[in-house]
Amino acid sequence: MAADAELDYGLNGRLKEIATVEQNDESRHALSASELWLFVGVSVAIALVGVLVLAL
Amino acid sequence: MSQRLDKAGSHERTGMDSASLGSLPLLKRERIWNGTDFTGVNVSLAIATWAFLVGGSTALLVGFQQGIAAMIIGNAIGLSFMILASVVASQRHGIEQYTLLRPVFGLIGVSVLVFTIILITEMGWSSLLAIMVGRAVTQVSNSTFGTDFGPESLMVTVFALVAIAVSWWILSRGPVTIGRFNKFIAPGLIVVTVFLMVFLVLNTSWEALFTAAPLAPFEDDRLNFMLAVEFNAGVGVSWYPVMGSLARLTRTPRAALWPSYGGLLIATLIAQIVGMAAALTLGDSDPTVWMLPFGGPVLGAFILLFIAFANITSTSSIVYSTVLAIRQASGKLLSRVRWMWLCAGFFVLPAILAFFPAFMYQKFMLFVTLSGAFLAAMCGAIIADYFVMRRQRVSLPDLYRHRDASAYHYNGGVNWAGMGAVIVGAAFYLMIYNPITLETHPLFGYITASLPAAIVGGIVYYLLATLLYKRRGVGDFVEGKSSPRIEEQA
Repeated sequence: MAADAELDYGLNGRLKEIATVEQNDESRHALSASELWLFVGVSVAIALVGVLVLAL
Repeated sequence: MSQRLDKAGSHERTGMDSASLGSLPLLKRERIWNGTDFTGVNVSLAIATWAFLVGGSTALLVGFQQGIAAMIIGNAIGLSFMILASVVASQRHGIEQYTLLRPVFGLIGVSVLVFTIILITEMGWSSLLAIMVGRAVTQVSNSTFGTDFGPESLMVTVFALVAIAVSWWILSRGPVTIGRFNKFIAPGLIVVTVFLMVFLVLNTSWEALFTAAPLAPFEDDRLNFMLAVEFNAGVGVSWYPVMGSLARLTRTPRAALWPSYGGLLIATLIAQIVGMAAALTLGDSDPTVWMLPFGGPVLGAFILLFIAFANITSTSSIVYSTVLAIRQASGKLLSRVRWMWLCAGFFVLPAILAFFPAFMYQKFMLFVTLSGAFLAAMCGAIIADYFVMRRQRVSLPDLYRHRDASAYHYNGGVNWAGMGAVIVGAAFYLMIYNPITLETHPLFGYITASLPAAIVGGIVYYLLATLLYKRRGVGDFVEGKSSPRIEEQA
């Protein structure tokens, strides 16, 4: 029954709840700029490990 | 407007049953995975038989050391922009990626992409996995019953068709059944990978492995290496169609971003490297050929049958989100079609392709790189839209509104900036590297083709979207407008 109630919670209710949560979220972003650059940096570093393997 | 949204919501949910579980945005309390859970999910996905196939195919072009380097570089590139394009926004808003594509391509534009790029990509993979089942079962038959079925025989097609039928049955039962099977398959595949590793360590010296020649290289060594890198980048980006649907089930951004990158990268690398080592040791790129020499007639046959079943459940897993996307992208057209019949419709083309096993195996690399060309350009446009132009904000109600009630309706439901970015990005890819003729531009030797295709896709999107829409106030590109709009309407 609880699961049915969850599924019955309609689109409007869900959007409203998600909007409220997102507005109250202090970060206001999925990823901060520093996290984004960290992710890019780690990806580049891993690719460079590949270059290193090739050079060995 | 609220009533209109409810109508849109009911339309989204029309035909929703226990098998498809619908596409409504998930609330925080409905998210079920933390970082550890999601790492496990990604490891399970990555340690699949396609990783052996990719490892074996990489061995066609390069030796062991170059192969490891190509796999690391290629997967690091492909996975990085695939994850930024699919995982981040879906996790943030709890919405699967095809609904979130509406601001980038428009409702009709998303349908066009889903029914072309996404559908062809997933149909290709599922037909290939089914053919692999056919080859695995015929190998067991040859070994156990003394039959003489070749790798391109009709029996391969027959067993591939049986595999497709079973995949359809599992898929039609829904994600719960898929998950139930995967609970056994994923650990089993880890055991198979470890088994292959142990066998290789016991029977092959490092020296033999490092000096083994690639199986079918071209004359130019540099070209071989870059083709291997590009192939692996294509494999990395080919995760796009499934990742957003999974990431929305995670609780925090950190539980989505790093586990998806780390889980996919590490597990893929391990399985691919083991596959490559096996291919170089036995001189054959087909994983179904490895198991009998490695495991003997009994254990080898058991592993082959296990791999056959693992392929079936892998097919069900990757097709699930695609069929869900087809239902949403079709609007009213397919919304009332029962889930099981929709799944059956998906498998028609893979079933036809199963009649051409040799063609599918030979064209595997071509298929992966070609689909990668379009997916990379798509990812570039999506990243430019979400991170640069919208600063990670979208109007959630507008994602679900229909026609011109939605800010993302653009011109006739198509965001021409997005479509243009995909076309130009993919064309740029083909200009740098044409996987059909194997003609390459000198740039390909330094920067691959996927990465520049994604960058060009992003730049073209930014320019066209600014010119066509943002300057005219179309497309809700103005920062900060989305949140008040939710307050107003909901």
